[in-house]
Amino acid sequence: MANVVEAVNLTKRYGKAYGVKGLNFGIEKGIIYGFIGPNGAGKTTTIALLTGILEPTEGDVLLYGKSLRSDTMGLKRRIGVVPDNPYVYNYMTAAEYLGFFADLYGVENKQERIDELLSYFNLVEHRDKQLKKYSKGMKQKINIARALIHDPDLLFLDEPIQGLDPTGVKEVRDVILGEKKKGKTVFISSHILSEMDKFCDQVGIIDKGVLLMSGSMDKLKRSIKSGIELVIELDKATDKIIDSLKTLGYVREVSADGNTIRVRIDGSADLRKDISRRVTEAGGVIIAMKEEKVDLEAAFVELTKEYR
Amino acid sequence: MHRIHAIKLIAKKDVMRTLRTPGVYLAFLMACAGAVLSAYFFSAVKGAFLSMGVGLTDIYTSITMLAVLGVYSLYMAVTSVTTIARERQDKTLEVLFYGPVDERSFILGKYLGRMAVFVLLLLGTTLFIAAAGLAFGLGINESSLKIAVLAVLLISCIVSLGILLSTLTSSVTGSIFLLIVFMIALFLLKVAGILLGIIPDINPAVSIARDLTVSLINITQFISPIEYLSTGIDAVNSSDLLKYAAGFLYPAVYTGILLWVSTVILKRKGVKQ
Ligand SMILES: Nc1ncnc2c1ncn2[C@@H]1O[C@H](COP(=O)(O)OP(=O)(O)O)[C@@H](O)[C@H]1O
Ligand SMILES: [Mg+2]
Repeated sequence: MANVVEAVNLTKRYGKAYGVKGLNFGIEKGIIYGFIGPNGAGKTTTIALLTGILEPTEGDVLLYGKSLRSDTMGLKRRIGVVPDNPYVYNYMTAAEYLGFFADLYGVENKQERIDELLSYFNLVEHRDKQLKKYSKGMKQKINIARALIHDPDLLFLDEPIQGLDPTGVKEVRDVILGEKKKGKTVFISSHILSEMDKFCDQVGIIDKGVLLMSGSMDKLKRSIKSGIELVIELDKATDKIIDSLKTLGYVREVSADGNTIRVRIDGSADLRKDISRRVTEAGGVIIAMKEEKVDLEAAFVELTKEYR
Repeated sequence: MHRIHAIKLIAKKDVMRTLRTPGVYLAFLMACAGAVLSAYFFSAVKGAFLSMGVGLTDIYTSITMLAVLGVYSLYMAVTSVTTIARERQDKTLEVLFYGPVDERSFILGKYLGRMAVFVLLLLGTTLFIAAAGLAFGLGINESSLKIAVLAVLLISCIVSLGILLSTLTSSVTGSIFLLIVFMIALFLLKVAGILLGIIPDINPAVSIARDLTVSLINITQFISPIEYLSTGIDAVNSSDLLKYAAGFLYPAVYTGILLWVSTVILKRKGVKQ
């Protein structure tokens, strides 16, 4: 298995609700992988699961072919993580902060590495300033510098350019491209699709905890127009009706919410007649039925809408 | 090996942080002021003690040390109960765990950091009390060292209890609230025990309540760190080697169990909120 990251049926439940549900995807070595979804889609949860700070309810994470559970400490040393906000020790200076993590990872040539990162992020003259006096953008740079301190092979960034000014955005992008050039693998999340276009080699689209697709941008664009969702309002939704629909070959999924059921269908053929016959046979009375765009397209629309 | 490295760094980080807060200096100043007051008082009543033939140095040292210990107990309880809650609230906890840190090294690092701060305070205070004793003509002897050992054992219990309570909460305010509730509960139990001891057996309800309270008090003897003070005092004053060893063993076992439970709770609760 050549994949650096492998999510296998990765599931996290918060009480009854799902944070993420049955994620399956792989990431090849040396690419930038964009993980895209609207707010609340499950991006942060996924990163927490992939980096070993959250236990999955079900499923497993493989990094470099090894289960994260079997060698947590060893694998943690190979990854760097940039959380969605710079959670730093405010009472430390930048140099102390980086120094603490350098010590933690046992970085050799600690001072050189710190100087290298500080000058890379144009923070040399702020090295002895307490982080509580840093601006949000400066803190975010320290946040990224910290994640890079031990020169990790695999980098996770959770919406790293959110709230940065254009210069900051360019700096972060340059860092990521620089890591890629060095042969590192990068996982970056965002809720803005167009931000990731052209920048990422591969993307995953997540919405409501479900991975809608994973692959190249081209594949994403092609797959947008496949599949239909029928929303059927019944006088009374019974298990019998739902089970009967589930036996149909072209039905991918059936979910019920009160007396409204949603039927996901593969392909784009008009199957409304067929479906309504099934419902009637199972003793149901249809009050209304309409076709909806599939989740992927809905997500896509939402993503592009947020950008505009 | 890696774990020891992480423990040391986490402890050091916490000590450095503490040395940048005013609280630690305030606690030290209060302790020193108390020592001066006490030394002044004992030097004023020196004549009376001497005529009674009691060891003035012993009495001055032990009373001052115990008073100072009261200040430090409170300070250590508050800083221990907030230490993990603060990292969780600030989410620096999860950042730490992105790195090569696990629950056990985190809890042990937190514990050792607190203890290191206390040992520093204790060292300074013991020296100060001795100096004040000399300055006021009360003399010095080794009794302060005995009490210092006892103090380390007591504070070890308080710190591990604080850490345990800290793992249960997610915010600094919540953790202090929990500490206060815990202390009030222990206090009320004591008061109830005393009251029920006075009230005569007028009806069966009173005796049931008394039995219940007595058994609760027996249980709290294992939970409340203060209870270990009395076994500790016995140990320090005892020439019986077995009793002395037991006085060390109890707090050590108590600390071990509470830190282990803290680790389990942290694992269960997770570092991501
Ligand atoms: N600690 C938590 N407890 C309960 N629900 C949570 C928790 N964390 C996240 N969630 C829920 O899980 C879903 C995914 O959240 P998240 O991973 O933060 O999304 P994203 O990062 O894509 O915005 C959301 O519906 C969110 O409300
Ligand atoms: Mg998020």
